[in-house]
Amino acid sequence: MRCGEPIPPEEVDCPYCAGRKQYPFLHREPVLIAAIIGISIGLWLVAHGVTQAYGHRQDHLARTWFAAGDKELRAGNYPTAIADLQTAVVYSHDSPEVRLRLAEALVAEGTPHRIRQAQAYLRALWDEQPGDATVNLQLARLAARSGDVAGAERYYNGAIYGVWATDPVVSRRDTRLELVRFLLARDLFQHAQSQLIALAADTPQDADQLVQLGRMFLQAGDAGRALQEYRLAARAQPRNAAAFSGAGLAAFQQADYSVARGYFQRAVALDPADNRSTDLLHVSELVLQLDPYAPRIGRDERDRRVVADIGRTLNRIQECATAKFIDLNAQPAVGTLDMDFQQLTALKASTTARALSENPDRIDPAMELVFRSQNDASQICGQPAADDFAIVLIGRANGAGQ
Amino acid sequence: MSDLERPAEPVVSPEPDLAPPKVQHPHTFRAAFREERLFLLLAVVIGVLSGLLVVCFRVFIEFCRLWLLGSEIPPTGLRLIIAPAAVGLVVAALVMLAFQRARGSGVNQTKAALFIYNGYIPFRTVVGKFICSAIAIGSGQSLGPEDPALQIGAGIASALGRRLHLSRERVRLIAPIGAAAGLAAAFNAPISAVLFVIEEVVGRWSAGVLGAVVMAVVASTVVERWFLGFAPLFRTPPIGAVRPAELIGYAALGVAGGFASLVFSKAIEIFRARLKAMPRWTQYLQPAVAGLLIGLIGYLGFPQVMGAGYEYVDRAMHEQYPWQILGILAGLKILSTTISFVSGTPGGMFAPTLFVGAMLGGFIGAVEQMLFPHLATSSAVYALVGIGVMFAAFLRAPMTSVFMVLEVSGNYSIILPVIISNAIAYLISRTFQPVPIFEMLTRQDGLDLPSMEEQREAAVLRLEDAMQPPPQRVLYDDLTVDECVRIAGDAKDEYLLVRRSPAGWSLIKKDEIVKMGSLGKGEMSLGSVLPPRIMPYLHPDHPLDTALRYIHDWPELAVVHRADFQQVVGMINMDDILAAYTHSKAE
Repeated sequence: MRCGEPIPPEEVDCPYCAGRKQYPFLHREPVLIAAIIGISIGLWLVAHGVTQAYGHRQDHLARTWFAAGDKELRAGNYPTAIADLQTAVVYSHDSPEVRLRLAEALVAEGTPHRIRQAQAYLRALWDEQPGDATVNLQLARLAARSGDVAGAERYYNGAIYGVWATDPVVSRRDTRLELVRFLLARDLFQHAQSQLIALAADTPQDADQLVQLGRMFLQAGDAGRALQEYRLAARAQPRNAAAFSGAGLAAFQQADYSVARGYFQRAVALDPADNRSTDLLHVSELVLQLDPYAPRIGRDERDRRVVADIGRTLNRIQECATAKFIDLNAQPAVGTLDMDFQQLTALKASTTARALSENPDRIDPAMELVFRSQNDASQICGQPAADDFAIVLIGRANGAGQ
Repeated sequence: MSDLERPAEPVVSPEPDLAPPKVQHPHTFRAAFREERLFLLLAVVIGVLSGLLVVCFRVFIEFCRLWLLGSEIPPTGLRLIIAPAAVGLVVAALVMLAFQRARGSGVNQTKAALFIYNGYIPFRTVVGKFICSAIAIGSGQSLGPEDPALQIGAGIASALGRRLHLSRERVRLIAPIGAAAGLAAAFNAPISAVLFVIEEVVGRWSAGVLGAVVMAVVASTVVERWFLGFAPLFRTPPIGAVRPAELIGYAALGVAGGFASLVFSKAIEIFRARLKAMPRWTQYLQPAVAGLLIGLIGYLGFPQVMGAGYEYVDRAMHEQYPWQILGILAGLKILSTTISFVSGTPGGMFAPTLFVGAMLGGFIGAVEQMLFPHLATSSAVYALVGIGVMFAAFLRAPMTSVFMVLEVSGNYSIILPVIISNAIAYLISRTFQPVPIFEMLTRQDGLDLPSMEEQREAAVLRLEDAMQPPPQRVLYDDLTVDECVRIAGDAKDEYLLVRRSPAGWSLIKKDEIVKMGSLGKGEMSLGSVLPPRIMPYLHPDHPLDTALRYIHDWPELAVVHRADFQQVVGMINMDDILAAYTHSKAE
């Protein structure tokens, strides 16, 4: 019963107002409303006090457990670190940092179940902050680990173009470097090349970094850009043997043996213990000595080189046949090597410097047979000696076998 | 011109005619505000107060947990056994000696207050619920804070309504408003809170209640977020597009959820009845024994089942548990919640239901992922759907269950799996457990509260189910009494329908017309001798009970077309109404 309602027939007065008359002050609505407002304010203050106290306690617990987990993680006690960080997550619901560290701990533990757990946390974090570079990087590493190339590439790119909390330039470069390594390991050379080009634009003029970049360009099959990077490295640090060695290798891969020889000479001079450069210098010199198609050599020299190459190739065939117990004089010739041998023997008999000088059209067919025979011998007997290798390289440079 | 051919006139259908108040007592302050506005304002105040109290309640639970179980999550050590058992003794003493009405979850108590005690919830119950639930949940009893928060909110509203001397009807209305506000503040999901209270406590949609409930819920949610921030109770996993083939997996989840809820409710039904039948002195020990058993479960390696368990729901949604653990946790949570609840420890079943659902969902998802890796994308999404499944099947709130999942996930791409799973689970639960859990609990308590499920699904009888064909003869009030006597002469009906001008229908007894003719009024028009009363307009789709309101004044009622009030589509009297009710009951 309250005021404003019909007064019941049995009552003579409003029962509500009768009550009001008894305690007029307490029944005044302004007083009630003031009391409600007072209670609300009081309760608000109480709620403020307890939530503040709990908030502080929560923050303290979050920090404590996070620190404990972090310490355990650094110490390599992964199960303890995980347990501590899981507790820290409960007390710091909004902190991506704690969840990220937990994911790192889970990844560090490394079992498939833990990896799945880490992925779940990271995916949730990514869902909340798709632009967070660290989360993307962690997800990229997990995707790379599980062989998910597309996923890894996507997350690596997310990390590269994402938001970094500290030192974004270096972090982006390092991440791109990591991506390139991943792509090279997966033989995805074209993808790697595009990333390397972007990386080259960001790389400072630091010899070591340029050498590293050049090495990656070489690995990705882009010898031209590798040479550029090595040249920059050599310019930045003229006594950097690795830069000269790399530049020689890049030139060598480009079949520019003359340039390669120059760089290898410098590399060997700077680091005499660099056996690879020494070997390749030797091969480069042999190529330059044996190549009948080399520019600026006289006709006589060219003819002489052709005859010499035929003789060397014949020897290579014989050595290979001996090693593999192949009868080169079998009649009729049935194997690759004995056919090459018989053709080369016939060619050698009919080829002299004078004959080539008189009929230069014979040079190309003769060298074709030489290149083919060298390739056949390499296939059967493996890596040739330096001079034979030089002939193989000359053949490759001139499109033999294509 | 026949009755059917007469042009339609725009007539406003009269509203049900309640008796007018005899005297309106003026009051200066309330006159300044209109009743409805004051009520909405009051709803906001209730929302704020409920929100504040529930914030304190939630924080108090957390402090209790820290004091009793320590800060490590999950907790470890002997305190796992000691804390819930010792607190069980304290809670039992408090409930038995000081706060008898604080037992149970709070939902049924609120319903009982609403339907039996005219919305009256003693403030002592609010205090008791606050203290007992907080320390029980904080000590590790497998119960949740939502249902107590619901009762706390309702209690605050009830106390405020009484203090402000609101009418009985308003106090009844105000309790669910507080309930919704309390639930919203506890679960941080306003839409679900509104729906749950409408679906489970009020049982009907009413514009008056809905507006106030929404205002209160908004206010309480704002307060809750003001103090506790926007962080959800558990973070939902990222959800991608669901492939059609994956729906089979969600259907399997629905089946599993249906049967799990069956086990859950049967266990509560059986053990609660047995424990209630035990001597009264055992009730002092039951919460302690329950605490001891749950503590043992925790001590033996599954402390996740202790307390509300939202942090573990969060972990399940981040695929932190292998399928074996998920399955075990779902089973053990059912067991531990049953133990806690049947012992009479105050606390809710809302959070444990979500916990079981999440673990069960995660379990089904993980098993599916293992058996059909191409089918299941993430067990975390199954965990999310699972919470809705258990909610639909165990608490029997299907609509709330769907909206709850959508609300907590904020992602509509999950709606199809949620609907499929929830519908299957709900159907299984209904088929094998016809009595919903809350109704079963009230029956065990010797109460008879209206079943919301039955109310929702009860077939509504309408006038068209009872009415007879329209009469062959209709009189017009511009006819003379003699003409009417002639027309009525050979009619078999006791009452004749009179078409009034300019609009409306009236009724006259055949004998009365004849009598008027014999009294010399034959030349007078029928309209001039009839009282000016107009029959209320009833339409075929009106509920049958609408006719009951008027049948006393009008022994025969005309049922008219909604688009043409001059067109009578049927007649109805008391016999027809009773026959329809009898027929419906027989069916």
